[in-house]
Amino acid sequence: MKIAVSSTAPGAEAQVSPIFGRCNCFVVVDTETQAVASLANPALGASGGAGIQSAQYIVQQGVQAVISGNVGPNAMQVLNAAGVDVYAATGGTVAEVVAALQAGQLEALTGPSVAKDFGKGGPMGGMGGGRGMGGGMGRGRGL
Amino acid sequence: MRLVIASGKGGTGKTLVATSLALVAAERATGSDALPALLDADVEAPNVALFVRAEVSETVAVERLVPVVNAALCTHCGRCAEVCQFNAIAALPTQTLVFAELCHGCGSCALQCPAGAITEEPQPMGRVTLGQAAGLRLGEGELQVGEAMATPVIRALKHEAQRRGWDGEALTIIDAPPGTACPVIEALRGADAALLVTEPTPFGLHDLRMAVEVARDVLGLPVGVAINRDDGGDGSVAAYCAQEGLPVLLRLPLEREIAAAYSDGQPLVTALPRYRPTFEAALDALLALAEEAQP
Amino acid sequence: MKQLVVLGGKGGTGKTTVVAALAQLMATEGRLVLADADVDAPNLGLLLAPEVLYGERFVGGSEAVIDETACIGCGTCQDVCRYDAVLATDGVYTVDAIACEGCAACHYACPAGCIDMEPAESGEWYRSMTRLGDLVHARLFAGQENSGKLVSLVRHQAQVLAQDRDARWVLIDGSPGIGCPVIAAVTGADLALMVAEPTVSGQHDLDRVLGVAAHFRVPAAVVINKGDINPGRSAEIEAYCRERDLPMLGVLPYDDAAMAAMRQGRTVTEASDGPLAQALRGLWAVLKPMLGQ
Repeated sequence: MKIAVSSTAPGAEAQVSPIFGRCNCFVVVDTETQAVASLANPALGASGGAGIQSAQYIVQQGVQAVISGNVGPNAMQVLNAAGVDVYAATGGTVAEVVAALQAGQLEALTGPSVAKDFGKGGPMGGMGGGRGMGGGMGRGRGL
Repeated sequence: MRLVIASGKGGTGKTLVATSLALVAAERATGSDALPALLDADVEAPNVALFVRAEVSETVAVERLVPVVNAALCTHCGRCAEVCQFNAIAALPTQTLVFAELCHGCGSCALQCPAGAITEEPQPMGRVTLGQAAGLRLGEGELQVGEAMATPVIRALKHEAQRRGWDGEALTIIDAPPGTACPVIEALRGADAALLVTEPTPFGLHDLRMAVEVARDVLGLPVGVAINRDDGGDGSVAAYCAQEGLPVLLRLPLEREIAAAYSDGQPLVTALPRYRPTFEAALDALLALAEEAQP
Repeated sequence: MKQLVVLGGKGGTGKTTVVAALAQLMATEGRLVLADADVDAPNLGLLLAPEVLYGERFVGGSEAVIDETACIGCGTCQDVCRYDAVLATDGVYTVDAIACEGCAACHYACPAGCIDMEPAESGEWYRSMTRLGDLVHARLFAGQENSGKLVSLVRHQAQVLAQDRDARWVLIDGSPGIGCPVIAAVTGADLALMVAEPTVSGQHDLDRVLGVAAHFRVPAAVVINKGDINPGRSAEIEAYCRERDLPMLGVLPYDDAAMAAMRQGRTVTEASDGPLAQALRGLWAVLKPMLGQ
């Protein structure tokens, strides 16, 4: 299985990044061959839509799973559409989180926790529904 | 003649100045004169209608075009995602996803798709409301909540007013959005003069400088300044204006009565008629400034 | 690390005054990183005298440039441009850089391949030190677009810096309105504090900016500024918040101390111990637990 980990630097000893779309680097680990490839994130400098661009790039690498601290709603939508499984990891090195995934210790993120068409009914549509939410997700939405 | 009321800093009193100038102009327009128009181009926070009650005659939807991919025709070549400069399209091996909120509506994806699989469909992003109040034509642009781009709504507002011949011989006063970015440029574009409203504070001065850079230096417009909430305590704005040769065309004092009238949605010249001559003089001075610059 | 963004909808409601005071109160309790997300009228720095440690040009996008020597004068670029950015004068085509959206439609459509997309520098961003902590701020060049992208950059840099510094809070000073810079400022924040003004305009614009926060699922709370200017409208805003189950965190009084402090380049809580300073302390006392610490 090929797994892409959003990371702060290249290599299997780098820390997993808390963000996806604008992470410094993706480390792709092939669990069968143990091959490790570090890829620069092409969307790092994107002014908008970084999550979409980086997710598309990761899909093109033919990975089956992604591990990241957080994944924004747009990137999640792309990864879901492509059938890539997404797992959350709050800390650790690339090697550690890949091992944790193989041991079944990582939580799968099944859908974006930030709905996109929320509150479109009118100017105040859906007030109150968003309270107590919103931590950490959906960063880097550049407009 | 088109006059734009703008400012770098928000909340300096653009709407207060624009509504009173327009009401003064409306009183003056007599008989054969075409009615003056007041356009609210602060489409993110349009407030003119709270001060001047208009009878709405027409509402025009403002739409933007977003791409729709016909899955039956798509060959998943990825060209659309490649040409999109805004990362609004993700081309996956078996699917093409469009993120409408990132789309700038440029149409490049539809033009470049080799399979002809992309069409564009209108999506609402705001509206333009047109109407009339006593002796005044009123237009308002309103950006829908959750939409990001104000500029197309401002463009539509100006276009709708122009299409109805509001511009012609008559006076048009535009209440611009705050700031110095693209929506302000759109509001100022095509103006004959700009009145920049500020307050005599360090924030006011800093943001006035930025607004002058946009209106005078980038767009080459004749520029006058209005100093609002003048408490006589900070001469740096007046000193800057003198140094830059910018005429101060209007001064309003820091007065509780003015703030109270404003807070209840009363135009200043209606609530406190003693300010009418002040606005008449400011309007004359602004018109003279605009006329002086005419070729 | 918790991110608090301060917004108002309407301009001039006192966002920056509130941010500066909160920053001063936060700084006495822990480390914070400040972000000035009002990039087309950045005023926070005027109160904090930042010492710029690092600055960088901001490339917001690109703009089309036509190579006149290779242009065949077919006008395709003008036909495909939806922003009226291609001008034709006596058969010579040029691009109006201010109107150009950077979409590259002309670049891809030009049959002669003579249109290049060149990076457009549209501002600068800075990392600075102030007496209250780190400040990430920026300046959009006059009349540029992409203010939302610059705000995203400021937010991102502030977050990175906060992680490096192990800061407890990121405090973001937002811009007026509800468009792209506001969306970029509010997205992903833990709490949006709305500084409302008891005026018809203030009420109207508060409603709209609350809609934006709800749309992007950021919890919101409201504080009324200059409440005594119109006690009736102030009460209306309180009722409005009650009806919607929105936390109302207090009413700040009108106080000349705000303008006086601004003229001294200080925060209200540094410059005064009057009614406004007291009320701001009260605000921080109720705000802090909402940030979950």
